[in-house]
Amino acid sequence: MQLIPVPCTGDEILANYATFQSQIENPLLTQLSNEYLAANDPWIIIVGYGIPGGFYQDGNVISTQSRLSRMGHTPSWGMSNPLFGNYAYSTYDSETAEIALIVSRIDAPTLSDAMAMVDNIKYVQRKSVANGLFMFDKYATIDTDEYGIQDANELNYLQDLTDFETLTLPILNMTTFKTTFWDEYTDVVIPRCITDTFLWAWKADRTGYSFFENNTYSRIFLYNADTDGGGTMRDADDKRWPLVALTQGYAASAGATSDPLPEGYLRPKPFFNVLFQGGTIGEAFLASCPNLDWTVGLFGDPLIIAKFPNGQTLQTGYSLVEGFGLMSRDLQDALGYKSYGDTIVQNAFNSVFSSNDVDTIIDLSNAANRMKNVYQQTTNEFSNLVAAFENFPGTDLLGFLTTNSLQISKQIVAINPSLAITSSLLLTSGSWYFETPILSISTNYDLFQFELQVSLTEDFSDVILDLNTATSITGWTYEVEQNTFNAVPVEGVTSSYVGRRVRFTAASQQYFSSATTYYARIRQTNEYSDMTEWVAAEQVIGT
Amino acid sequence: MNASLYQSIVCQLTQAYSLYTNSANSLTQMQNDLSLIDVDDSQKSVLSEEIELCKDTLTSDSLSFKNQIIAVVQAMNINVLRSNPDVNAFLTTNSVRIPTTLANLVSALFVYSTSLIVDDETACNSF
Repeated sequence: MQLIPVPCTGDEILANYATFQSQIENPLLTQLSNEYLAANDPWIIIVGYGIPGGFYQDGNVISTQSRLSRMGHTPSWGMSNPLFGNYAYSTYDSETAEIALIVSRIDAPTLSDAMAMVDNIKYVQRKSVANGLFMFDKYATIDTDEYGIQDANELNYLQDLTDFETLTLPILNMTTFKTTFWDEYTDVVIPRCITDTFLWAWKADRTGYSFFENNTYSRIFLYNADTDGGGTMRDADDKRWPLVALTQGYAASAGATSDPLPEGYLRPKPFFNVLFQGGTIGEAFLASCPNLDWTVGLFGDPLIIAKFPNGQTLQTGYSLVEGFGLMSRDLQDALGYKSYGDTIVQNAFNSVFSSNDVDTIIDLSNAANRMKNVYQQTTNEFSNLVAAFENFPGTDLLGFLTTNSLQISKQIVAINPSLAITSSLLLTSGSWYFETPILSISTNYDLFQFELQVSLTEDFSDVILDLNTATSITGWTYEVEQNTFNAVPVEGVTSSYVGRRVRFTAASQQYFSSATTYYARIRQTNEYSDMTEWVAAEQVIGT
Repeated sequence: MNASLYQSIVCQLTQAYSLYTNSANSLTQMQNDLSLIDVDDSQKSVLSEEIELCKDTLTSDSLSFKNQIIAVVQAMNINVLRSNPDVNAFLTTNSVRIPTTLANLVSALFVYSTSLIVDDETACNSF
């Protein structure tokens, strides 16, 4: 650790960026360029007691933490955070540090208050066990415009909170206290914090010291998504969330120096994905903060980690039923491709034998026969594979399919006709679905719509299906968690799901003939009409 | 063998090769899915072996489709040489276009003139 003094005034919020540069950023850059510090390449900065917390810029108050996080880069106010929403957590490294440093702030009304915060942080660090409650409040009054239309960005945030609640929160294996919906006019709040370890809420602008009861559990992180919680750390009477949280035993918190807009609020899913996988609060903050050079900043200890209760791990595997269903599709695809390939080879040889060219027939007959032997051998091997597949559940297959409402392809059954599968357990011939990874379009927080075109020719000269989620979401789903698909919302899929899959499942009137090849291509647009290139794929109908 | 038949066969073989490769890829995906299923390895072993055997024949076994496709091209070239001194010259004269995939596949055995090789779609757009 290296202490670096900076020659700043006592103001908490500076007048402009130039003042901030002269008091903080430039002196810091100068110090960091010295031989010792440059060699140690620091990744983490804690802004200490008495250092300004932000500066005015274009009517906003940019937080010191957010700007220093991008120190050395030209400012881009409110820029999209390239580290935001990374679901595949990997340890922070020099490459990540090039994008954004981990910066936190510890400040307080008095020096003794600040020192008490540090003492408490050391206490929480020693334990850092998530042994208390997760207090979660997702309900708030959604703003409406003059026509009574609810704010789309606030609704998106509510959706993100709901996704977190249903998909991630249960994995944390913590006891949870949740608010319940009262009515559309009431901003529901958590009544009192008792035995709490995490708190995630939004909108209620201020809190109180009596809100936090004495607690012997580890208070690790608190975030209330509001417009100015981080506006001051020096006014105890103003009762803003980060200050009160750090005063009342929390090791870390976050808040905004001025309104970050709902798009700029921290997102709980990436935050707890990182934390649950062993990341620090600082890493979790960078993964969950949509914007940099902006108003939201981290407070308290950036290096604290959380030890979650035992009992669950992140689900990465499949159940037997899930896995059987997925393998069934893989196998039907494999059989479909092979069967179609066999047909084409057979057609090629038929054209040789019908050519009436004796020399050609003689020259190619040996090769043709060997080819036939190979696909007969492959057919036999597929037959053995299908038998092994049918035995895989380790129980009577018909009962297994019936009990679990599974269906399999006729192609699979056809290769082992001794198995008496009733028609209700067979997939309808020609059924298909198409799926592709969700791509990133920009570094903004985007809402994606998808367009899918299907053709029977590779050049898409005759598009037979043209589907767009902007006009109809029928048949469209997206992967909210690994292997869990939900319907695509009318407003689109948020960029939080980049890397996961979007899927279109054909309705019966969209089925094709079995063992035909179709070509599909898909592209994404965001709300600003930015668009990806077409991503094309060839698929054979295996059902 | 006339040039039209030669063109037709190289295109059909290319398409078939692509389909067999896709079949093998689907089996690879099946293997990946199998590995992620939360059951004992002993329950997976038989199925895993059968998947591997199928993949071998489709892709890497000495009797694989790939090797048979090479054998067919070799037989076609022998046939062309019955009445032509040079295969590439014959194909050039008759405007036969060789798909890139097939040219790469047989390159250890026979090298097509660069001017004959075009991408698969262009070579076979009428087949």
